[in-house]
Amino acid sequence: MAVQVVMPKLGMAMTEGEVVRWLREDGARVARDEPIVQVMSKKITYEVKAPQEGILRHAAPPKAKLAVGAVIGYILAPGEELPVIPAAPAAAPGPAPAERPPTPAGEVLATPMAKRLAREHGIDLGEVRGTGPGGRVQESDVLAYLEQRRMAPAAPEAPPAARTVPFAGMRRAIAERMTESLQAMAQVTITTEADVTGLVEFVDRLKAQVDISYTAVLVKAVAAALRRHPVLNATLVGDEIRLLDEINIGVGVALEDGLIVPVIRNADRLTLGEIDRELRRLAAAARAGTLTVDEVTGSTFTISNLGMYGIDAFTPIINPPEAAILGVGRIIEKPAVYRGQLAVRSLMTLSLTFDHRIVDGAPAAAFLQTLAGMLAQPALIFGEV
Amino acid sequence: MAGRSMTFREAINEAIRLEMRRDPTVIIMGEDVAGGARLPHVEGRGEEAWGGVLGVTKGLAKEFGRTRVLDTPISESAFIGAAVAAAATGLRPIAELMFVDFFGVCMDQIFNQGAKLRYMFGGKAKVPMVIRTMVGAGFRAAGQHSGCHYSVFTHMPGLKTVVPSTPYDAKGLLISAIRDDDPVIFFEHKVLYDMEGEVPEGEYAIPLGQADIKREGRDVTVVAIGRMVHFALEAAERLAAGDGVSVEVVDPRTLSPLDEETIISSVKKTHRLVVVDEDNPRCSMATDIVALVTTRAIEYLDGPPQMVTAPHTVVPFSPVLEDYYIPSPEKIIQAVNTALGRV
Repeated sequence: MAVQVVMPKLGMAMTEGEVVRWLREDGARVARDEPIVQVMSKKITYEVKAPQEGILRHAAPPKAKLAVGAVIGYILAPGEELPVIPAAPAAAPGPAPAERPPTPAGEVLATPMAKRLAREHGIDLGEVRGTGPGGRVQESDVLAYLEQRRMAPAAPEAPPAARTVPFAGMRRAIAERMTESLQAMAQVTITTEADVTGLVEFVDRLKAQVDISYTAVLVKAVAAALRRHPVLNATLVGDEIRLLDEINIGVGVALEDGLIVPVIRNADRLTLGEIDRELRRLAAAARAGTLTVDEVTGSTFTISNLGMYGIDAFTPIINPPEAAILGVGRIIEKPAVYRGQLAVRSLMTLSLTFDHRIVDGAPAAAFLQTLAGMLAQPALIFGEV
Repeated sequence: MAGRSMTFREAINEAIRLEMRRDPTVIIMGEDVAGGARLPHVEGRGEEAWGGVLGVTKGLAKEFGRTRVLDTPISESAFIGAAVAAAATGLRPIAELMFVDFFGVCMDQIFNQGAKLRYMFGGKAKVPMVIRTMVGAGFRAAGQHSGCHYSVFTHMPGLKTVVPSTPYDAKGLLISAIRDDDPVIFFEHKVLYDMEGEVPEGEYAIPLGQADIKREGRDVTVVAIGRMVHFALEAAERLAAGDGVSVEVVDPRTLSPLDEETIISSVKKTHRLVVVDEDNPRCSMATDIVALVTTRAIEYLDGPPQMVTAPHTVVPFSPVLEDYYIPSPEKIIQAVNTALGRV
């Protein structure tokens, strides 16, 4: 009997997902639990495993956007025929269904009129939200989409593209979150140049025994600084500013085609070694595309490090619904005046973007000062002095 | 427009009268079309004859005499056959097949003779005949006197079929039918006979094969036939008042030839189609018009076409069931909402 492979629900908010690519070809013999298809929610990419052994049949092409629970493939017994997909029942008179039911595999339900309009305007119907019965895309939906596109800031006449990258999935998710962040918050960025000679010495000393990354120390330092400045570890909900108990530090990890922010939970309660190991594990999972939903949600403060690209200062965008984000620049040796003498010191620029709705400039600066002090004298990270 | 109002029945009577005055070859024949002429109680006393079972041809025997207004025996095969022959030999007969439900007894005369003679004789013979016949339910006349059946005749090549919905159309279309050189079946809905409407004085001809837009609209095209035009207009009025839905009502007026262009261009404007037909649904005008639109204008449809028809059954005797049998404005409103994707 054919077993359905369905679009998984990869988080509470997920309503639809996209088939990224099939890992096994149509008709392949697959083993139970073998990864067969890569799917993508707005947050993460995920490999769906075969629910049982058998012959894999595809029911949705790559790029197909499908509702959670929609059939994307089947596992058949040898010699078994593909099941006939029953046609959607005719819309019975009654209230319109609130939820869009799964559309037949890989197919956008659209009226002929809508299809023609989409073709004439070069629109991918998968991008258009259908409001007709059963989520059917109608003329009005395409017109609304066109209107929305027209109202969007007009792109200057683009020269012919050498190649195009789909504005979908993770790219679109990043775009939406960043735009939403800048539109919703009053973001201010302040910078300071910290003398991190002490940090460099500290890490060098550690490295003689154990390989600890600068990022791990930064996570630990930020967590400790947030404990002292809880207003930066906050979120705005309705008419309350909630100062959060947990300190969960998100760390931006660049991917080939995007960016993901895995989370170090309760970073203030972890040892440096624990943080370092967790960071390595999460970074590897991020690059392999195997992060779980829990590993990319729930951060309360984010660190974005562009130091390895030679950047000093920048204006990071807050990762909603957090109150602040730290941008970390490179460590560079420079001539600096130290205790009245010109000396070669290791300097690092810290950029803090904070939501001015939640916190004002002085407390934000105080946090940054505490952090800079900790990086100058790492001993401060590990206890009150 | 003279602003003169008359009933559907009077409009038909006037069309026949004007054509009989204009053309001496026009005659009428059928059961009781005179209805009592030459009978002792009528003759010589100046009393009017009956003039048809529902009085449509009243007064014609008086004006044109018994040689041009012929009461026939109750034998449809005989007098329809006679009408075909009269047409083929130079007259323009208007034969009245009282109820369309009776067509079975004269089908050879209509289908295998009247419709085909022009073709059998390579165009040397023509059959300029009109068969007037009553259609439609709502008269508590049960299954043998209440059908529509115009789909059956529309199916047959060689015949033209006309289903008027208003007094104005009835007069203009009947004049065209009488002047037409091919056999035309003219279907009169008996419930419409007392309906009043503006009808100009004098002769005017509405070309066969020309639909009429009875109400202009933007959101949905409702093609309605005969009496259903009025239900469609009522539904359109209620939809406009209730939900601001703009319904275009298209009345084909003649089913063969069918004005495809008016229907297609209306759907190209509104992108939605509902067909309302009191005839039974299988192999019907409703399915035919839906097929026409889906084959010629599928890319303009923004929802599945809907059909509101009588069910596939004989017109019931029970008044309650008869009322249920006939498409209603409520059913049309529901179909429009479905076509609009609102249910």
